Amino acid sequence: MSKGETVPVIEFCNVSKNYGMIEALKDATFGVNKGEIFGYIGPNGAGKTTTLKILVGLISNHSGDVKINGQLPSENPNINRLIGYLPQDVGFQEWRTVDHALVTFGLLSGMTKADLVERVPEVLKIVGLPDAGKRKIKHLSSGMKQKLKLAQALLHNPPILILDEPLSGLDPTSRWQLKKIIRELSETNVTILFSSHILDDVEDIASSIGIINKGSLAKVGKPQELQKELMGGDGVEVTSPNIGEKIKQIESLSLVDSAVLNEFDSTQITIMFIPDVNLDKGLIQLMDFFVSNQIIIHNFNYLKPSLEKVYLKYVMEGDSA
Amino acid sequence: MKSLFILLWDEFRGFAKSKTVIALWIGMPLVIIVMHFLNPVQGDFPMTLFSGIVIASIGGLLAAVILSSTMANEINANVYALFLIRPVKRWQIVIAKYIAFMFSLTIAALLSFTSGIIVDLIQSPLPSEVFKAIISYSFENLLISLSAMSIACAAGLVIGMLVKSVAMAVILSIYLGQQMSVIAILPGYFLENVDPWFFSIGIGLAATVIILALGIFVFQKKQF
Repeated sequence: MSKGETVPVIEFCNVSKNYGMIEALKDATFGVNKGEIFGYIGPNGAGKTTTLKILVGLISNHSGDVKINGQLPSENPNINRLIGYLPQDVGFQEWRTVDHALVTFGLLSGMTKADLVERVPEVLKIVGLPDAGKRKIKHLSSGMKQKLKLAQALLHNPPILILDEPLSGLDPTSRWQLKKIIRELSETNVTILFSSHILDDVEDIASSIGIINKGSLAKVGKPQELQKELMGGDGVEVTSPNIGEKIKQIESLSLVDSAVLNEFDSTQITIMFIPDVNLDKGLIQLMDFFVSNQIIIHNFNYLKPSLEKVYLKYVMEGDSA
Repeated sequence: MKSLFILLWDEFRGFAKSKTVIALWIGMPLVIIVMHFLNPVQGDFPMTLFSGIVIASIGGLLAAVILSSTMANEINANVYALFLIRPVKRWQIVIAKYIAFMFSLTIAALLSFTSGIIVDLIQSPLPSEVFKAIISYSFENLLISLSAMSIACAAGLVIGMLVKSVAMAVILSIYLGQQMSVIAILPGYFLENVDPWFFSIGIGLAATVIILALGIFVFQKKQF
């Protein structure tokens, strides 16, 4: 390995899993680097939860290798102490209080009672349940239970977090809080792999994305790379009362690939730069042109294809194959 | 092994907080005392002996029903995933649940037995030699009952693992759990020249180990 090359904290090498005749996961190969937030998206039943369960060891009879920090689970029996896992469909023994549940999980994760005296209130504060410690789990709302699931995953300060649909069942404020927590954890070098089918959430927080469909990993990459791949290059959308007559001139600029008038609004055009052109240089050239031609700008947007378009492209390609 | 003790203590705390086990701890001794006050003149029938009969007749049934419904409920709610993602072995979960519940049942049985002795001591109608003989006989009965309950517990656990519906688990455990627990009691009635309580405990232990091994095998195969 060359100097400076990052070692994936999580590695999937040709991992497959069948349930009878059904191929739940086919030859999945990808890696997640330290401190990365990897958004794992796909339709229902695509194989997201199977992937995550294989990673945390809940499913062991699969083919291929899964490595955590370069080690196979068989090489390090305590490897699951490195992982915090928030499962999707999981319950608690409801006779427990929140504190009791966390203390039990903490002890089983190898923490001491002394550690837990400090850590339990701390983690409850992080997830937004500071006063819930003495409450019985059966009296919590579903949103609060979701936060408790996150609390048990964070409890032992794991360097890797695996979150299966972490934002489902949360109200908008809690979603915002949870996304903030995920970003902050990533800044402290915690590696996060989370699954979701809510594309806006993935777009908001993921630094890398994996799209899975019908058990096959359709695409893995940075959001910007995937978006650029779909668009070809960077683009902007400009609204101006006098831009329509200048389309030919804009198109003739050296860094511009195309300029197209909006079909329904003659004051709005979409300008695409040549692929791989430096966006700053393209924008400077465009601005110079606007100033020298006295084009009045009412609105100027960097054109970013939504993750939805990228997602649909790969999922629909897979469906038609 | 540390995980096993954590789970064991945790499960015991769970059972100790459950209404059913609290009802057993209070209810079974209460039945003995209430019976005494309802029918204080019982002739020669001592309460110590009566307590042994109460434990034997309802203990095994309750064990099978409570454990099968608990297990089916917890598997349906997928509570074990949060344990299995930690350094916990599947067999530890099964064994911890079995031992914790057997311990809870033993407490209930001892409380009932003790209440029977106390009632008899207060009444004190029997000569001490006879009373000692009754205690010894009842204690043997208690051990035989615990052997039967042990089989019922193990059977209840396995039924709870195999059946998804809680209602079906309860029905099956009422029939199968109770029937299987009789294995420990029968030799005493039918075999001559054998020490019934020693034989019952042996059979109880052997059957429990076999059923628990089957339970662990089933639990290993479960998808969480």
